[in-house]
Amino acid sequence: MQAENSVGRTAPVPAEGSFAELQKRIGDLEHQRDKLSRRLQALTQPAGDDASIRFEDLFDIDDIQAIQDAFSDATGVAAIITDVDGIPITKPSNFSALCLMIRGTPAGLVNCIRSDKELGTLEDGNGRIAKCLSAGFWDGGTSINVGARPIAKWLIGQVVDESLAEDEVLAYTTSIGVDAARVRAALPGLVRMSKEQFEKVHTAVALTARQLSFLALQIIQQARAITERKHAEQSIKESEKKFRTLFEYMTEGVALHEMIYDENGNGIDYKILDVNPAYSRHTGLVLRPDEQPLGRQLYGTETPPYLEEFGRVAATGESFSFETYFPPLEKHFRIIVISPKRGTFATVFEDITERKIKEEELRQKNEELERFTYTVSHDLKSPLVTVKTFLGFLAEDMKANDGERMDKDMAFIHAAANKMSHLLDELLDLSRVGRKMNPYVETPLQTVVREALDLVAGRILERKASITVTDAPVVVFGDVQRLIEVFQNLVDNAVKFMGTQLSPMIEIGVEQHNAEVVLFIRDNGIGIDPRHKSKLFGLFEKLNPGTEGTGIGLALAKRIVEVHGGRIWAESDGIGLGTTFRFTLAKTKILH
Amino acid sequence: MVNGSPVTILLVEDDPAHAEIVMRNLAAFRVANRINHVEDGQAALDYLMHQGAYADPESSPRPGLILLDLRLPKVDGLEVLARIKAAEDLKTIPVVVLTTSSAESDLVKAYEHGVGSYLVKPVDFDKFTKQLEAFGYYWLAWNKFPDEK
Repeated sequence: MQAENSVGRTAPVPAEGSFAELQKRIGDLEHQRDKLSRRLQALTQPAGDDASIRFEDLFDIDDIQAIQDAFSDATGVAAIITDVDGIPITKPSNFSALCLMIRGTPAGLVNCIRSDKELGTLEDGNGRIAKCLSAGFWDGGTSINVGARPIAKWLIGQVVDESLAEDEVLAYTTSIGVDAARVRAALPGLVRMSKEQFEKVHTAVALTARQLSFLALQIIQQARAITERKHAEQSIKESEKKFRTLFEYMTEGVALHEMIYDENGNGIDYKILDVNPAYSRHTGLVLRPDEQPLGRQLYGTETPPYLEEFGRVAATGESFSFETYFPPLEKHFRIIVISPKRGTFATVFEDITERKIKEEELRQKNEELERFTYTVSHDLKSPLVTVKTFLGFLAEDMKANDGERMDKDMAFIHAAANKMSHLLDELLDLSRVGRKMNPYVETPLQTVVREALDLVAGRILERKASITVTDAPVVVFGDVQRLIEVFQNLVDNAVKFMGTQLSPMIEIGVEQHNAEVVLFIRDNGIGIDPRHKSKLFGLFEKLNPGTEGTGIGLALAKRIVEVHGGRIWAESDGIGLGTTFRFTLAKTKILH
Repeated sequence: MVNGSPVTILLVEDDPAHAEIVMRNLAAFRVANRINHVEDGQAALDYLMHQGAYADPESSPRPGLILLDLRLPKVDGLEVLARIKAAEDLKTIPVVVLTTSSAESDLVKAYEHGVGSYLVKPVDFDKFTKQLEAFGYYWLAWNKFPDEK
């Protein structure tokens, strides 16, 4: 081969023939591909829009050619299938030599195509036969339709009967420039049959064409059905994918379930079929892909959680939503239950624990605020009533010149005004706790206690109380000024309620209760009647009407302790048996 | 003017100034020696049930009328009211609330617990004086009480 001798060629050049064959194959393939895609396109047009469907889209032309050839062989008539404009779709079968001569001339071809076009135009369902508009031979045409719209025409003919006037044919062929000698030679080759016979042939063609029309419609309908199904399958696939993605990524937990019924049809449990990742995040429960546990097993409860609610939704199909506290997981959930199919249900839920806690906090705060405004308005109004009323008395007593009464009136007014001023100062102080704080620091307990004791030194001295303070190395953490206030109030309170105790004693100490460090202030004073313990820390609450003070001290101590992440409570064995106040503060440490 | 035997009053009031106001305004009705004053809710209950310091029925006679403040030390006024109305031998004693609170919740609870009348202390000398005068006429002069056993 030449290629072997040529320098620089790296690939063998295929032989001329095989190259052409390859190109033809490729061409065929491309043609087939185009044909298929056009066919598919045409067939998937929306129903009713058939205008662009072509005969070639519906039928394999090779098959149709074979039918047409076989028909022509059997009947002897010429045949061709054209589009509605007379442009050939199939190759002519059994065309007579004379007609080919006529079509070979420009004028003849124009006449033949015009005739073909006219012949296929239907007058009734079966088309018709007529003398051709060219040479006047018998021709017939019948149309192939999709519904009412013609897509092709099956033309037969080039047949002559006994009435043929050969001289007229000669005159015509001569006029369009065909050689008369050749026409004469070709005349005997024309197919001859009676008009009746030709009509029968035409009827056979018309019936075949009707079959093809039928078939065309069926093909389109089938193609449409297939396409629609494919579309439906596709959209199901897409929506499945969409929902799967949603399922995987949504923040709400989702679980799909199937109810389990006993022989009487009562729901006794449910099977967990599938859960999404958010389900595991919210519940902390991870299921293996093949695991479909029962509710009872999964949640470790005696009865499956919410069986009644879930069972009702699975039975009625009516969706249902509720908020619930779920003890096995110690969480609050909002659960929406829907039933996609009888006997099954899906739960969509979100963890609302944080919201519930916040709501509860808010509710408590609101209640506290309500109590606060109620108390404040009452306790500020009381001294005001006193002031106004005794001013009235004072005016009367001045008129009556009753000096003793006037002194008494003034004393009441004075006391009430003082009380109001005290109340306002302490309320202001109370309102600042938690809002205006100094930075939290670690301070030895003894430092805090010493400062507090200095502030109440006068009263301690007056009551001759002996005070002992622990020397344990305790460190408290917080706003030191506020912590001093706590001790100040508690010591003040202890001294105030010593009663008739002859040797008042106060002990400030620390205890370790498990992991918690508890500070305490113990006295041997009048104690607390257990019936009234609940009112102890209430704002403006005074257990003893005769004593001085506004009833804010312990409320303030409680507020400060709570702001420091601790809690405070009082213990007493009863009246005359002393009181112990205990409290905690976050991050209090005993150094070892 | 006064019908039947003169009624005794239990005044439950923790504010000495307010107790003084009540006493002065009712002085015209000559009740001074018939008013027993206690300063907290527990004392009121002890008095009525003859407990603790009030064990002697001679010095702590059953009152014909109770004038009750609501915000009281130890036991709240509404609680005192509820306990009185729950006690078979006390429930017929009319209770009049005299308080600075005009809170709807207090009003509703007081009437739920069977209070006979609810008076709000006015922040005005003339009004307070007139109110107590009217109270005196109504309860101490005109009102008829059941016979004490």
